[in-house]
Amino acid sequence: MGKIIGIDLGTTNSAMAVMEGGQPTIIANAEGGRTTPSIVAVSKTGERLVGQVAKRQAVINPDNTVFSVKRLIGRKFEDAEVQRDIKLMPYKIIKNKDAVKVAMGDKDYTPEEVSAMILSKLKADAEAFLGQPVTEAVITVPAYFSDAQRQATKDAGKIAGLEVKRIINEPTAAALAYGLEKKKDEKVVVYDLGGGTFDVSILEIGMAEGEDSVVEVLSTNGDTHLGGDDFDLVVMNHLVDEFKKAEGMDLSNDKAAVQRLKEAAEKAKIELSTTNESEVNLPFITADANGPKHFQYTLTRAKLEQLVADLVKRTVKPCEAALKDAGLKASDIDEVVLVGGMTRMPAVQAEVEKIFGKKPLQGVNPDEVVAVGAAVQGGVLAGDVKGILLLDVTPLSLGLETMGGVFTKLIERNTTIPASKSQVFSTAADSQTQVEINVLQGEREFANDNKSLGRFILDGIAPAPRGIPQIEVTFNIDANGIVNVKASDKGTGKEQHITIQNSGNLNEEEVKRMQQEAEAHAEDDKKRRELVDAKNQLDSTIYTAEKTLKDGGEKASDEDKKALEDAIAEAKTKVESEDKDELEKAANTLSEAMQKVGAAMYAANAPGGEDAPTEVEATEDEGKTDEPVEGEVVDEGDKK
Amino acid sequence: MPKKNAKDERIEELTADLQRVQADFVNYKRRAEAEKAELLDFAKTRVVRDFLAVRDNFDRELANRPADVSPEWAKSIDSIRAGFDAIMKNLGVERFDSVGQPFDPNLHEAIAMDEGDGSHEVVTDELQAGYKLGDQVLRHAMVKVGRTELSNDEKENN
Repeated sequence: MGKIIGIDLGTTNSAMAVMEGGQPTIIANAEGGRTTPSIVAVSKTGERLVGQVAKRQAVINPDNTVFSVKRLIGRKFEDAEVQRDIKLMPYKIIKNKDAVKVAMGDKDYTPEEVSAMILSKLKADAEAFLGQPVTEAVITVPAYFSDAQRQATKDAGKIAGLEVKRIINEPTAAALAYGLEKKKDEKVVVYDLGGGTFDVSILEIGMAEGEDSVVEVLSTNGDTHLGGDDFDLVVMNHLVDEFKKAEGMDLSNDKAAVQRLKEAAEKAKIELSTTNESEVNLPFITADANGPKHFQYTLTRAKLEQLVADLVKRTVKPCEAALKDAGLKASDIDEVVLVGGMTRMPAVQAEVEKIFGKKPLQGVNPDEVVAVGAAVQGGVLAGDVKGILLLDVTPLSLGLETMGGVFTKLIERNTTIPASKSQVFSTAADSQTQVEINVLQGEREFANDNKSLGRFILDGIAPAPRGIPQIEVTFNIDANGIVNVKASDKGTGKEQHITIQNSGNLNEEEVKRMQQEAEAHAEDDKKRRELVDAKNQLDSTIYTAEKTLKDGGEKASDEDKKALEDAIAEAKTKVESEDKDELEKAANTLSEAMQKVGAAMYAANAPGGEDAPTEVEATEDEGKTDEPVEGEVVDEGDKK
Repeated sequence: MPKKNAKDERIEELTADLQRVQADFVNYKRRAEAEKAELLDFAKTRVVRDFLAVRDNFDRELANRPADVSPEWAKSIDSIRAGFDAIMKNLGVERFDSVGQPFDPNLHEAIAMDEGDGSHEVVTDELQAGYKLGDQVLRHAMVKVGRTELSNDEKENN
């Protein structure tokens, strides 16, 4: 059964996505790009070029390179938009009955045919990516597209060999990408500032009759000639001015310099979305009689925001008009969705927040959000997206209590469920015959700070030295969030389990609170954890040292033996210390003393130490012998 | 055979869902394997591409080197550049020549057209060199393009 891919057929760039395992995935093109320039050309040799490769030759082949064909599709020759483009576009736009054609090479093409060339490339690249034929698609169009424009887009798909299962509005797709269709009776604003166009749409998510909810476009507005390219130009002109100020030379006629400045301007603009300063460093930008000139300049975010303030302001009026047309006030808006790379700019986000009084939703890449939404729609149509396939995640980690009150996580938070994980633990004391499993949920380092979901005892463990019994603990969480914990003694085969029905019973606030607490206490918890680890380490070293003394003492010299005995006595006085460094130092000193005796043992004997290497590796979390630790499980190391 | 009841339908539906997820997973795994192999190249490509900006400046230095610079000094710069190139070569990065070659948008990014007669498009000037890593174009050469008539050799080939 084939995939229905989602295609954002954009004015300047196109993107595509598909549902995989219930999750949207962006499909990279053959060149590895996540978006493809919506540019088509016919070269002098008659070769058809699409995407980045067409863009690279546009300068030398302007008559035969068609871009922004979306501005023409489904339009009449007499349309004001078309008449304007005839003046703006370097390629030829010709009358074709009522409609238009564009000239490329020796032939004229309808806008549908040109769009189909873009779609064909996307289709071929998607097939290479997915390793299967692609014959069906959902394609997005601007909300203001007329029936004729929609039909023409559908026809373009057909020419490209794609059955267009549905044409959906771009803002609707963006809302779908955020799962907003599930929120009934909400008003959503989609603010789309792309490379060359600005669109704002106001949507109403209606009550669902049956399965599909209804997304209605209440109003749209925008500016068909405002976008990221204008921002880049403003920045570039500023760089030209700055160079003129510094060196008295005008770079605007030097094509190579302009190209480098253009790239630098875009890079600086992008960088300043995350930093406050960006270094423009262009050595050998030009030369005069006195030698080469370099351009070095620091652009600050404040300066950038000042430069583009007018452009950002130009989006305000369309937003207000859209609200007015929808008969709404800013306070009626429930959600704001951002589309287009330009909306990464903090100044743009701040302006949007100012207009609508709401923080915009974050999370989906604004360059990809429309394609993702189209893929979601495609998934619904293909039956890929269903209730049972929407996988949940565990909001909090699950684990158990181990030596020293430590919380050992088995299933980390945000793990997709159903999931299961096992780990082997051991006893904390010699001859320990039972362990208590305390099942915990939370993010804190210590058992006491987390929520206990339940506990049970596994008994009948055959008496053995600590660390020897192998107790396998398995956590299993099903799709409904029901947790089953099983502990079994590998030696005797005895097992016990507990089923916790309500692990997911925490409400959203509780989960949030626990996550925040964990964050707030992260530093303290880490310090405490390190202290406990150091204590456990020392305790375990003492245990091993005593064993070494007992098992191999007679082979060592009296001197070494005495030294080890003293070292053990000394170490025991440190066990209760609250100083991590002191604990670690004591453990190291003891290890050294022990090694001397150990070496003597080996010198006297062929190697026969039962499990010395394992023990060294496993010391980290091993337990204490000098206090009752019955009922605690000790992590023996990751033996899963 | 009794006719299908709701349970059977449900089983069929769930089996189909399971198959779909299974297929997605298998495909995803296959692609993840392929991507893992490419990842090393991808990481290398990204890092090398960033460093090309430094290499470009060596070219610009050479093109703009004053006549009165001391020969020793010039020699040191040349040896730094040679060291850079040696590392690039070890990484499998190859620089390709563009000037005089027919314009090819798979290799070249045109930023200007020189006026001229002729039907043949040739690279007349290279403003930034192009580099390849194996068969893959690491960075397209930034070029100026002019028109000429076909040379006799090329006429024969065509």
